[in-house]
Amino acid sequence: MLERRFSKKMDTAAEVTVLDVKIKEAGYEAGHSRIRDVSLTVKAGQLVGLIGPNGAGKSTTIKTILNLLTHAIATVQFSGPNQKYAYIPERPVFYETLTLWEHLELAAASSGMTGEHFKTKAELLLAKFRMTEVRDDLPVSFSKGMQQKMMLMIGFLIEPDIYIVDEPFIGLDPRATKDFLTLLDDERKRGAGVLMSTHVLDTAEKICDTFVLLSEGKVVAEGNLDQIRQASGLEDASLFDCFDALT
Amino acid sequence: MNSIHAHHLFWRRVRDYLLQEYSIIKSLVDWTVWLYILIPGLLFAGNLYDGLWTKVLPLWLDKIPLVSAAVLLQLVIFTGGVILFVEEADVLFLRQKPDWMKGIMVRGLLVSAAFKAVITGIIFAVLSPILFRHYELTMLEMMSLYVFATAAYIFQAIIYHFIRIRLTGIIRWLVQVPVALLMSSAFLMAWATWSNKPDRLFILSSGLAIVITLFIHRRIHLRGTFYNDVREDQVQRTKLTALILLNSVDKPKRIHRKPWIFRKSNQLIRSQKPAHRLAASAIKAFYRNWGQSKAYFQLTALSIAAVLLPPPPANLIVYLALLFLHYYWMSSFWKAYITSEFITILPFQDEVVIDGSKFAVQGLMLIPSICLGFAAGLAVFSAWWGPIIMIPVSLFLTMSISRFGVLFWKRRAY
Repeated sequence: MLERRFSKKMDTAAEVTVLDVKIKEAGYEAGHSRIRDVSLTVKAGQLVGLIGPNGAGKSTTIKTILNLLTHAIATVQFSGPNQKYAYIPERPVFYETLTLWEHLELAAASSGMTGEHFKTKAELLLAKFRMTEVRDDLPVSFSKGMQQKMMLMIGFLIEPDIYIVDEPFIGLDPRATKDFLTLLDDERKRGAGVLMSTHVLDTAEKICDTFVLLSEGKVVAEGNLDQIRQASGLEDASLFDCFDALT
Repeated sequence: MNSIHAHHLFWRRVRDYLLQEYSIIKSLVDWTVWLYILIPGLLFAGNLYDGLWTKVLPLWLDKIPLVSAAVLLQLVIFTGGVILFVEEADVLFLRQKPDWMKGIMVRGLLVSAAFKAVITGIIFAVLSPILFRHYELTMLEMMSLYVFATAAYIFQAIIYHFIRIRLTGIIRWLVQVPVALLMSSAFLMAWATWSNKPDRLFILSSGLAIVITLFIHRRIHLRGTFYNDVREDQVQRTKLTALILLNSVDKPKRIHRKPWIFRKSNQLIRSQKPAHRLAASAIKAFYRNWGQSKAYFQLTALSIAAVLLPPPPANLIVYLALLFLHYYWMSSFWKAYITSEFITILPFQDEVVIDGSKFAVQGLMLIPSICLGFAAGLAVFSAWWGPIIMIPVSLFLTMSISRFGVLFWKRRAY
């Protein structure tokens, strides 16, 4: 039983919660839960890193938030001012017969973005990710990195309240990674929250405000880096070492 | 020491290949059922073959020249290729051992050649009663033709292999077609001219053998073709699978950089409503899928004939049935479109998707609806003005069906 709500909460600007998740249990088959008692909150402008080893339940958590699982007892509340979220999947998904521009147009249509606003924003993103040359090409002919860039552009285009990003760095070259992080920073300044699942711990350590560390389907530590260090009992340790100690 | 390892690796690959072929045949043939077909079939074929040696040969053989056997052989030659037994994973370590790679490739070429000799031998064995009894060839002439056919088979297979690994796209075809014509013509001419001159055929075969040896030498010293070799090997190794799956699985699609229509991401409609934009993208996606739009136009053409041919009122029933059939197909496409992975990552409201279904299905049915209306007008009224009445009726019916469909969608909340 998944309860998924979209509501406009009027908290103070700095404390606006854009995503509130309480998962009692969730899994792919009834009676076989993969995650239990996972709760997390993302506030406006905050970047929350969802980290954990392979099979810890990160993807299951994201799928539960996106209402893609049939077996979930959870409450997911999107409470931003626009009630829009952007999901950037780990594996690029697209239509084989639509061009890059048409994918952007479809994303714009889904969020009610029209006319000049869409064109200006889309062209800006194409230039930013150096994809203007291929705007009328089919993404099936792109490299993995270019397909991933397309997924990022779609996410940035719709100006959501919350970004749910699954392993964004896979396939991106250093320049695209830098562009992605700059844009993400701009979006956070605008007030968007970010929930990011990643294995790239050194980057996560630099950019995330807080972390939710999952292991075997449960939260083993959460909070900022100091709180994670405290939980792992390793003072001044890197996130990588804390991860190693806790999982 | 190295050659021993290459030898083992090669034969292991041959064994794996043969097991794979066997498993494909096994998956296709249910032996318990085939036992009732295969054994009587073999007995029948054996009896027939025995008859070719012992009984009077059919008279129609008089009308068939000896060169027909060469034509049959040439058709078999066209289907053959070379398997080098190289694999993509060889890039991990085997490429660092050139001797191993050469050892595997030489063995691959020799096994391919031996395989061709066996195939040619089987064809000759089957044809031998006719060649001996009807065309009255001597044993020496038979042997010379067999050696020549085998040499020609191996030579052509190696030439095609070179073309396939060195050239791609249209250039490959521009080279392969004239080369194939030239080689097959030369083979047929030599067969027709020298079938009773074994000495000349043996000399020609010896010449071919020298050329084949030179090509094999060139082949194993060729650099920079590793990935093409792997690709060509995969094509040759999966020939049996491809043949079996010919009618059940679509051929892998070629990856195109640009779509074949609406190449500049052209807008279909001016409306900025999300439902209209979603529907327009679905219509573009439908027409851009070449296989799908081909089937769409074929079905529309067949539908016109199906409405025009039967007498009234049967044609009216056919017309309505085909209109519903088209609706069913288009709405199924729409359902697949909006339940695809990409749409699930976009925050489309349910109402937008439901409204979009009406526009998308109407848009996709526009051409069949007009064509069916035209045909129904002619068939029912047998007058030039028939279509003027039936086309608007057809469009109205299409709109009504898609509106009814929306109600259905709302109820099911897709």
